[in-house]
Parts: sequence; structure tokens; C-alpha cells
Amino acid sequence: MKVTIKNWTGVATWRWVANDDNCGICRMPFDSCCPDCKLPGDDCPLVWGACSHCFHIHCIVKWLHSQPQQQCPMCRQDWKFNNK
Amino acid sequence: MMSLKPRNVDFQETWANLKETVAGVVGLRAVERAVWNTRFSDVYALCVAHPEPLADRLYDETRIFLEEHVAGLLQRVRGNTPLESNDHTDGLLARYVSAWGEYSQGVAYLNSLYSYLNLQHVKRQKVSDAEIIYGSAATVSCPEHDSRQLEVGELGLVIWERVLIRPLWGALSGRLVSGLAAARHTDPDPANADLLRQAIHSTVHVQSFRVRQPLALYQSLVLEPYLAAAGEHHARQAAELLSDGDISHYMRHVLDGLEREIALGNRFLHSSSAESVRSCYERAAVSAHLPALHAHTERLLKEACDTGPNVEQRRCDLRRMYALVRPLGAAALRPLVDAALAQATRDGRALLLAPHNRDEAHTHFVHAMLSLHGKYSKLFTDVFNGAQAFMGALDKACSAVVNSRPSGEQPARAPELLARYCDCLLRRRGGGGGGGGAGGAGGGAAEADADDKLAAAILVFKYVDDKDVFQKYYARALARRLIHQLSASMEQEEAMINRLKAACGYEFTNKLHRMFTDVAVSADLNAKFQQHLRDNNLQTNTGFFIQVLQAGAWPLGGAMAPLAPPAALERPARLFEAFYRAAFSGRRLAWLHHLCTGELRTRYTHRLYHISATTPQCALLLCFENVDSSPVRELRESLQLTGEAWSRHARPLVDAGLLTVEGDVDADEATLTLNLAFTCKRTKVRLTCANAPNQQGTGTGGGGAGGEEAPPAHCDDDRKMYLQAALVRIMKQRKVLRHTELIQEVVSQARGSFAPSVAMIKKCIEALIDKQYLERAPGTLDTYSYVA
Repeated sequence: MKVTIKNWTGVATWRWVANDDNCGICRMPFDSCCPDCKLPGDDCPLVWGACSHCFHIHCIVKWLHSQPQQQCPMCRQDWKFNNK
Repeated sequence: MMSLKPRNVDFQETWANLKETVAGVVGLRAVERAVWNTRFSDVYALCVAHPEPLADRLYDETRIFLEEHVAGLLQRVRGNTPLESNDHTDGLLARYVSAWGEYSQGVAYLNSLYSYLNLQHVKRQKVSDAEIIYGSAATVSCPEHDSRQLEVGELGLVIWERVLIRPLWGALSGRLVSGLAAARHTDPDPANADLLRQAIHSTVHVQSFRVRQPLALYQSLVLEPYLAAAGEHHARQAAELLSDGDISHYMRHVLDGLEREIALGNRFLHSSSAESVRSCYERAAVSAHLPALHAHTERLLKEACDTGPNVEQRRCDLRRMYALVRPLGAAALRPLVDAALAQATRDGRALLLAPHNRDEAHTHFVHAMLSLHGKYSKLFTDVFNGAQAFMGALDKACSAVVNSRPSGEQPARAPELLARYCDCLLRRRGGGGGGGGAGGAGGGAAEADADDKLAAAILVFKYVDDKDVFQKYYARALARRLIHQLSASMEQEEAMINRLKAACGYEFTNKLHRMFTDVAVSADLNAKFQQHLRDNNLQTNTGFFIQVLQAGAWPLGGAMAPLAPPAALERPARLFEAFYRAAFSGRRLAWLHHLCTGELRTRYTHRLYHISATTPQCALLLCFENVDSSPVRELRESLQLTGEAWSRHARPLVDAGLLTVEGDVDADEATLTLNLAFTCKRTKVRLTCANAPNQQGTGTGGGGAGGEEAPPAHCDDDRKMYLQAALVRIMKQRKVLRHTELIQEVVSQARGSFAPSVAMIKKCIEALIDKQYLERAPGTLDTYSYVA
């Protein structure tokens, strides 16, 4: 071995992996936050439904509270949180 | 015992008795108590006499008597001095004062003797104060014009004024004025001063009972002639002062004169006149010569700021000038303020241009600004009493100097220089003090020193217009410090951000805060990852530490083109990715290889070197595991580095001497060879990659700390977004607004982070109209309305 690696400090950035660019409810980009929040990030996370649609958690919770039936606003299937 | 019953009284007989006593009283001769009592009853008897009250007759007789008496006094006062002369020492004033003292006292006693008449007869006829002030037109005729309605004491005073003062008007007035003029030059002996004062105050006393304008006599007899004469005298004297000496000579004497004049007024004149005495003096001696004063301000200020021999002298001059000019109002002070502003600005520009080391430009800039601010705030506090107008001028000057552009279209360098200054202070000192001797105490002192410097830097920061540009530079420097762990202390970093927050608000710093949170979260994450490794019996082979940052909050470039990490690093990276995916769903990691650092140890040299380098550089070095030299093309392909990224990473290795090159590093045909004879004075070698993609030509050396950076052009785009957002916010609230008001509101909102140009705001308004957020209100030229 001519050179050995003693230590390595990695730097990486993360962003949400969503199947769309914008939240279907508030139309804000997933990289930013829902209209009620000030900063994107862990305080304004995304959630995925069983139907694979994805929203800001604040948006979908608000939506579900306002509806008699718990349906996905995109595909009208019953809404279930996907806890993968 | 006298009877209170009204009875028939013989007026002639009673008045003859009464008159004798009255003469005694007014002449201040002794009157026996029994006589006094009898006369008191006589007054009563006359007032209630039967069948007809004799009060009116008594009143008239008394008036005639007093008029005769005062006429006699007039002869006594006048004596045989010529009235035309204005010689205040010719005895007329002395006679006047003695006659006045006797008469005023006598009339006061007389008033008591006639108190029944006053009480019953006069009071009934007298109009009340309320009627005088609010009364109908019928009662507007003043009581002092109708002698029938006066009390006897007041009647006496009115007669004194009419019979004695009027004929002597000119003589009294002239003597008083000349007396005062003499008192200005030489302190009069106490007796004379007393005479003068009493004579002046008698004119106040004579009319003191009047409801309206009680000071009218004093003002027209004494004050006005005095002010006219004094004004002439002051003007003459000021002109003389100005002609036979320089401006400081003039100011010194004028200020002394002002004090003398006020003292004179306080000593002799009625207290109500202090203000008019002062303003008369200022008008005559200062206002008239304002242009002369203003002409010298610039020179005086300049000399007061220099280090010449007569600085102190000039400061005194300025202090006097301020004292003289200040009472004349803001308009008179303005040229002084303007001169101060111009002086501070000129001085500041000169300071900035002073020769300095280019590498130390940031330190030079901040220190120059601080010394400018310190010098002038001290000067203005000292000389101008810290008056607000001057502090405002200082602020204006500082902000003009800070934001001055080096030339034409170039942006001001202040944000960049200031950010670099902060960066240098917050960065860990290289070498760590050079030995154990400089222990904790030394470090603590250095830290406190840096703290002070940072607090001072905030002072400069407040003057920076382009705060958003500063934020960009600062955020970039902060990111570098956090990622490479270069910060001297986290407390200091936090304190600085809090200072910025205090100066500029939460919006300004929330991204910076975000970066801090990420660093804290990363530390937590590392601990969890190590735990995870232990739990699953996994090994990473190398030391491993990771920082996971949130895209968007950090001013970093996007992820680089995928790099095939060297085999030794592949494993920990994959392990971590797996761990991360399990811990957080829905997140994608992107490695920022140009920010990663690896620590390497060389084994091929005869001394051991510790090299810290970016991942691609590590990978590049690892490529020489089996060969000593390799063509560039091959290396590039195996590392999948594109042209530009290649040279950024490879060049520092060559510059540091770890690799040698035949031909150009960028050229495919060149060959890189591992320098087996590498030597370096230090055992730790630190490699960085050139930061700015568009400046690879400058080729920063191995140890360079980043080097010059291009001004962030995207600031303009951010500003446009900011302005548009502000415009929409305002219009949403106001619905309809005129152009000028809209511009004003936007400017005031944006001031916290930058000074927007009107042209840019107009462009943004156009853009919003195009996007149909706004429209021009129909039928008007300059009004916008919000389109919902």
C-alpha cells in the first residue's frame, strides 16, 4: 500500500424523493414547505399514501379533516398512510 | 363707639379733616392710631351718608387731591435739570426713585384707609375677570381706561403714570437706556445699580394691577428703546470684532458678549425679557454675520480633524461656533452639518484609499471604517455635544464611504470585505499558537479579542446597503467553516449570528440558523450510525464521519457528476446510504465529493505525511497504487471526472508537488507521475480544490484559503423575487395605490436587506402586470390596482 486512508469525512445533501415536483394540494414545490410553514425540512415533512401519492403532511391532514370520507384528493382511493 | 347707621354728614367738613390725614399718609408722615381710626370711620360715613351717599364725591375729591400731589412730586423730580440731556448721573433718576418709593408706599397705605370705599363702592361697579375675558362688547372697555372703576390704590398708580411719567417719558427712557449701556461696560457702584434697577422695576409695578398687558409700560418705556440701542451697539461691536481679528477672535468675544448681555438683563430687567434680550443680541451679532461664519466652517473642521499643532484650538472654535449658531435654528446650522458630513466623507474615502497590503484588504477596510467612526463620533460628541443632526451626518457619511463603489459600474466591495473579515476572525487560527506555552489563558484572551472585533464589525455592517450580498458571502464562508470544521468556536459563531439577527431580523439569518441545525443533526446521526455498525457487527475500515445537509439551505453547488469512489471508500458510503434509507423514508442522498475530505497517510516517502484532500483527490492518489505514472486520459476515465472538475482537483496535487506532470495537466496526452521524492517542511499537507468554477485560471496554491470569489450574480434575481413578493404583499393589502406611494413602501420594506433601485422596482411592477397580478387602474396614469 502506497497510501492508506485514515479517515474520511463525507458530505452529502438530501432532498425528498417524490413522484412529482409539486404538492397536489397547495401546489408548492416539495423542496419548499407548505404555505403554513416558514422553513422546509424536517418540520414540514412529506407523507406518502398507499396509492403512492405524496403530499405535505400538513396539507393532507388539513384535507382529511375537511372531508367526510378519507380519500386521496388525486385518485379518490381510500387514504391510507404508507409507512414503508 | 361709632354708630353704623347712615346719617347726615357734612361733606366739606369731613373731607377737610380727611384730606389732611390723606396728605399725611401719602407723604409717609406719622399718623396716630386714633386719628387713623376716626378717618377710617369717616370714609365709611361718607359712603353711607343720608339722604344721599357721598362716595362719588369723595372719590372725585381724592382723585383731584392725588393729581395735585403728584404734580408737586413732578416738580420735585424734575428739579431744574435739562430734560434733553441723557446723562443718567444728573440726579433725576435718584429723585425719581426716592419720590416713587415714598409715593408707592403712601398709596398702598391710602388704599387700606379707603378699603370700605374700595369694597362697597368700586367692587360693585367693577367688571369681573370673567366678564373681561369672555364678556360682551359692552364690557370690553378696559377698567383701566375708566378711572371711575378703580380702587384707590390703583387710581394712585394710574395718576402717577399720567401725571408724572408721561411728561418725563423721554428723560426717563433716555437715562435708563444710557444707564444700562454704561453698566454693560463698567460695573456700576451698588448704589447706582440699585437706583437703576428700582427705576426700571417701578415701570413694571405701576401697571402690575392691569389684567391686560401688565407689562406694556415697561416694554415701551424701557425694553424697546433699550433693545434698539443695544442692537445697534452689538452690530457695531460685532463688525469691529470681525474686522480686527480672525474668526476665532470674533467668536470668542461674541460668546463672551452674549454671556455678559444675558447677565446684564438678568440683573436689571424684568425676568420676562431674558428671551428678547438674547434674541436681540443673536440677531445683531450673529445672524448678520452668519455667512462669514459659514465661510470658515469647512476650514475649521478640517483643521480640527488633522493632527496639526492647533487641533485643540480649532475644537474650541467649533464648540463656540456651535454654541453661537445652534439657537438660530436648523437652517443656520445646516451649513455646519453639511460641512461635517463632507469632511467625514472625504476623510473616510482617503482612509480607504490609504496604501495597504492587497491580501489584508478586508482588515484594512474594517479597521479604516471603525477608526473613522470612532474618530468622528468622539469629535462630534466632544464639540457638538452629540447633537442629533451631527450624529445623523456621521451616519450618512459612514454609509456613503462604506458603500462607495471603486469605480463606475463595479459593485461596492464592502459586503465581500466585511464577510471576509468575519471569516478570518471566526476561523480557527492556523498552527494553534505554536506551542504549549500559549495555554488556555492566551486562547481565552484571543477569543475575547475576536469577540470585540466581531461586535465592532456589526457597526460597519449596519452601514452596508447590500446586506443581501453580505449574507451570500457570509453564508458561503460559514458553510465552508462548518463543513471543514474550521470554526474557532461554535459559541462565537452563534453569537455572531445572533448579532446579525439583532441588526437585521429573523428573515435575514434563518438560513444561517438552518445550517447550524443541520450540523447538530449530523452529529446525532453519526452517533446513531456508529451504534448501528456496532449492533450489526459491521466495519468501515477507515474512520468515518458524515455530514448530511439539507439541500436548499446551504449555498453549495449541486451534486457533482457521479464519481466512482475508490474501493476503500465505497464500503462505508454504501453502508451509510443503506442505514440512512432505513432511517428516513423518502429522502435521496447526493454526495458532494468536492466537499468531502479524506485524511491519507503516505507510505512511499521516507517521512510520513498526513494529507487531507477531497474525495476525487484521494481517488486520484489511490490510482497510483500499482503504477508510478499514468496518462491523464486513463486517470480521467477511471475517475469519470469531466474536464473542468478534473483540473480543479488535479491541479492542487501538482502544485503541492505530490504529482509531477509532463505537459499540461488539462491535456489528455500529458502524463502524471507520483513524486516519490516528495518532501515538505510540515508533516500535515492540506489540499483544497479551487472553489469558483469560472476562475480556474488563477490556480490557487495548496494552502490558499479559497481566494477571490466572483460576485454573486444571482443576487439580482433574488432581489427581483424579493421585490415582486413585497409588491404583491403591499397591493394585496391596499388594493389600489399610487405609483409613488407604492415605491416608497417597497423601498422601506426592502431597506433591511438592500437598497433597491427605482428602475428595478419599475421592472418588477411591469413583470407583475404582465403576469396579471396588477393592472393600471382604468382612467388614471399613475395608479395600480390589485387583481385578485
